[in-house]
Amino acid sequence: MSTTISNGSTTWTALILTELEDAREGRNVFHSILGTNERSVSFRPGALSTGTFQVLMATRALASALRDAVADGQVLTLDSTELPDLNMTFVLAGQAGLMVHEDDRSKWWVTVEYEAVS
Amino acid sequence: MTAVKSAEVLTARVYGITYSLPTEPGAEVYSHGFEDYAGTTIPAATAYSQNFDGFVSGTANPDGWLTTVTGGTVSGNQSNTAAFYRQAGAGGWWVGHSNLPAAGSMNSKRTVTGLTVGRSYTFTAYGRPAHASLRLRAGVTGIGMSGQYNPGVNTWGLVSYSFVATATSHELVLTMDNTSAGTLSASSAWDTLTLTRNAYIDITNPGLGGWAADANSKGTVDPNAGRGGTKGLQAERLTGTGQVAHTRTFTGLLVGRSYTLSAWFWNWDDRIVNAKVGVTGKGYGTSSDGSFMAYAQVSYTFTATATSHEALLEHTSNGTPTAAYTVVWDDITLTRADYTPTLPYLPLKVINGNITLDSETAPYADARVTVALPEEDYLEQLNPIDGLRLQLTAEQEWVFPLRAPVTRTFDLYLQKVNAVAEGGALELTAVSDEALLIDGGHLGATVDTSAEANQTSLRAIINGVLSGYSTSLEAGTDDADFTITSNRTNLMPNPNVRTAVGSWIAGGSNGTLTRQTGLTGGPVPGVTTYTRTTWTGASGDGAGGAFGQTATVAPTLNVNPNTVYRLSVWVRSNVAKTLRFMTQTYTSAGAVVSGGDLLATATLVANTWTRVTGTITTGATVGRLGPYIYANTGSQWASGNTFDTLGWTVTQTADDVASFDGSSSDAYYTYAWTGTANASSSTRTRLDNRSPDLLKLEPGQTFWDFLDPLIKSVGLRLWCDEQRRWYLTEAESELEGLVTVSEGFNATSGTDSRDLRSTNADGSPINFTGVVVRYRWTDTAGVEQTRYDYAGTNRKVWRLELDRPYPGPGRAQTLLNQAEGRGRTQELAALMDLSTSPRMALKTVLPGVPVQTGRVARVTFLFDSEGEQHGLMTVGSRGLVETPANAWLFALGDWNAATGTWSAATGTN
Repeated sequence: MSTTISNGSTTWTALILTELEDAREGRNVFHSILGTNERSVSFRPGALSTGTFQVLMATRALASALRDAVADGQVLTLDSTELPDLNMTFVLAGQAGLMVHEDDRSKWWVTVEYEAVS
Repeated sequence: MTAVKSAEVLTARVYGITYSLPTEPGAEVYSHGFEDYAGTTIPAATAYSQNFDGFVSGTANPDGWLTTVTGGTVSGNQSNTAAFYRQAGAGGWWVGHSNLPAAGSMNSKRTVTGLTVGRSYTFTAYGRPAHASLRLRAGVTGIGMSGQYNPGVNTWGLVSYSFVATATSHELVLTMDNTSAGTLSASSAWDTLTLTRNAYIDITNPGLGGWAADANSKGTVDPNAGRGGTKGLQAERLTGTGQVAHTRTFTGLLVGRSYTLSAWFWNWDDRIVNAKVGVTGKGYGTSSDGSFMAYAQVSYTFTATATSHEALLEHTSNGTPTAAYTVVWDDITLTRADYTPTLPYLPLKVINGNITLDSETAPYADARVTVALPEEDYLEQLNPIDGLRLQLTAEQEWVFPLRAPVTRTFDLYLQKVNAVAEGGALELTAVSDEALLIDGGHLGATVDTSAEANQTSLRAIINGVLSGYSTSLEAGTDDADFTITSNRTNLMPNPNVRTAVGSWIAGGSNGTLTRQTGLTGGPVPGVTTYTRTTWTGASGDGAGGAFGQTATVAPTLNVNPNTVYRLSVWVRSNVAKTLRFMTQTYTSAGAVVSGGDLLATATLVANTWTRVTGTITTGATVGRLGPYIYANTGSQWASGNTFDTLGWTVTQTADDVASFDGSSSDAYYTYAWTGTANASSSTRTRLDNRSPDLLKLEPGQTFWDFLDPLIKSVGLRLWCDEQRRWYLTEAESELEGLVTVSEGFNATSGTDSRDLRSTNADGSPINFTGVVVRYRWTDTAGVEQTRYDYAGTNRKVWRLELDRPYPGPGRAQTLLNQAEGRGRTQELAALMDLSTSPRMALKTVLPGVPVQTGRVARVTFLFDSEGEQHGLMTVGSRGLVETPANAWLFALGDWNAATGTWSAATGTN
């Protein structure tokens, strides 16, 4: 089981990958028709998924470097054999945070609010 | 319940930019070093042997060996155990002869069987010649013999002969030759005869890798001459000299891709070999001789035009022995180059876009599209000045109600590229091809008058401009005549002899001029009369034709001094003839100034009307002219010749004026005689008041500014649809199709307005009852001109001011027509229907508003990846009329003009 996050030039290897939430926004548009309570719908492709995942890094330095890379406005690739469904190219859509591991204080969680871009 | 389910998609491409897709890396599709060659060495084996040890002395013809001599006697052919006849072992073979003649031979022969065709054999035997003049040879009948050999008198010596079996049995031969000058008798011996099948290699894999020699060549894998490994392809000529070629067909190639065929070769003997590789039907790479006893590389790059090609390895064998020109090929590769596929357009991702089609504006189509930023390289290329085209493809699929999907493509001229300040997006503006004419214009230093050649047809004028864009108008009948008119006076009295011959005379000798009638199909419309001069004898050199007055009548054609005059006439003769068009000049008092000034010469084709024209600038004392046309100097008329004239025209202008007189009639002028009909000058007066400069294209003037006044003055409209098709139609033309925007059906919003103050975006009023168009321009004489055109009533007046030559009346009426029906306008939003176009019939049903019918003035299709307007269209109306629900307009069925009824009036909708 391995999980890596790469920006093309640097690859970070995580100890654990955890998915916290994932959603896709629908973009169908509804139109109200004059003189009737019926509505019409125009289908549009839904948005790519957005959500939050966490990866556990072996050291704070590694976690911090990954957090900074994610926050640095670039496209990254998540590749995991642990949660292959989550493999994607993504960008930061919200916050990228650090949190110390609850049991092993040498390890740190990186929490990423992402938006998939492909 | 949802009323309508559909999906609308807009895609964008910019043509004029080549887009590179990701590079597909190349690959080595073939590599062969001949290392898979394999063979087993089969050791030598004895096919026959005889040492005569098993024979007792005196056995004749031992082991079947028969001996003969020519011209002598065989004295011995027996086995013998004496030491003298034994080379080894216990026995030997005595052969002797008596009286063997000079140059004679004693031959001993035996047939052996069980040989293998094609295999190499070696026949050896020991011989003991008993005389110094005897020579030993070994061989095979029908194949050959070894060289003569004498090991010494009574000394054993070995003779040997190698051959390739051509049959499964061969006759072995042992010979003793007499080389002395006289007969010879001697007792000699043979012993230890051996026929050995030589060792050979049983090739289990020839390792040629598919390379095949042509008919003149031979190619085998040399197991000891490889470059990278140990083996290579030894290529040589079968016989003679010339090309040595090997071919191999490669399949599975990708058409259009670049391939490189490469091979190494070994120059065996430092000769000129011209080694090269190539492809049949395509060519060769550079040839090379390489280096002596070293490998060199040759290659050839080609583009595959089929999925299979035949590759060539070639060199030249220019001398013998051929082995000296042997080449060893090795390490042959075929490599496909990297390939970067391209698209002839730049694909763009649409974020949102509006496409408007408007029957009242130019350009007709206008699209505003926001797209995601392309890669930086392409962003630089997105420059409208390069004439790029934006192709938008709108697609609409229907889920409910189920309908056929609709695709509509908009091929537009890119006008503007705006980077959105927030970044990440571009706003593109593109319009239909009217923009080509709005932007393009006459680049030159002189006025372009080419349109004047098409003055009778507005369509031809427009096509003249469109030809510069390699396009033309769609077929149509709407057209207008812009013939340039001008007031003129024809000074020539009686120019067409309509009623009498008047003063016309033949001139010269033997000619008689008469008036003829009944001309049909003549060169001047409405003129059926003409002068005819007929000769009964020679006219005299350079004389005879038509002369404007009798010798006794002074010329009555009064002119001004120092003035340019244009003189023209239509002429015909029954023979080919060269003419001279002349005029005499006189003072006002009648004194001759010049007996004849040449205006022009003309060569007539027999029985064909020809127009002859020329100008003269009168002298300072000239007051009268007398034109005439005669046979040219050096020629004359003959008996039976006839010569006809009509349409005489003399004008005080330099320009060529079409023939007319006071009795002419057409749609452009009124014509009148200034005095007595057919005996005075005549005038033509314009019926129109258009500027004569109207068809002159000024340097720097845009094509649209040139054409637009012409088109609008005749109530027409030039427009180009989204498919680059150009139309010249009536401004209010109609398009088949009915667009319904109705509550409860597809209308999502609508406004119904009747506003006297509303204006267009350019500030012009939407509604007015009267319009004045003011034209102001400077004519070719440098005089500022102003003309007005108006139409309507004065309750609400709009003045449109244009700095253009006056094209005649009409534009004001066109504007007024367009304004009619704007008293009520509706702006509607409805579910998108991609088949909607301006000019289609429009029916609207809105809450609280009577049913309206009119025409679609404009439609805008709305696409947005995120906004709420996606999938809608807005429709603008014109010419709305309140329409009862049971109006015939809504009837179903077809109108039968013959019976005046509806053929299937099943009701109203």
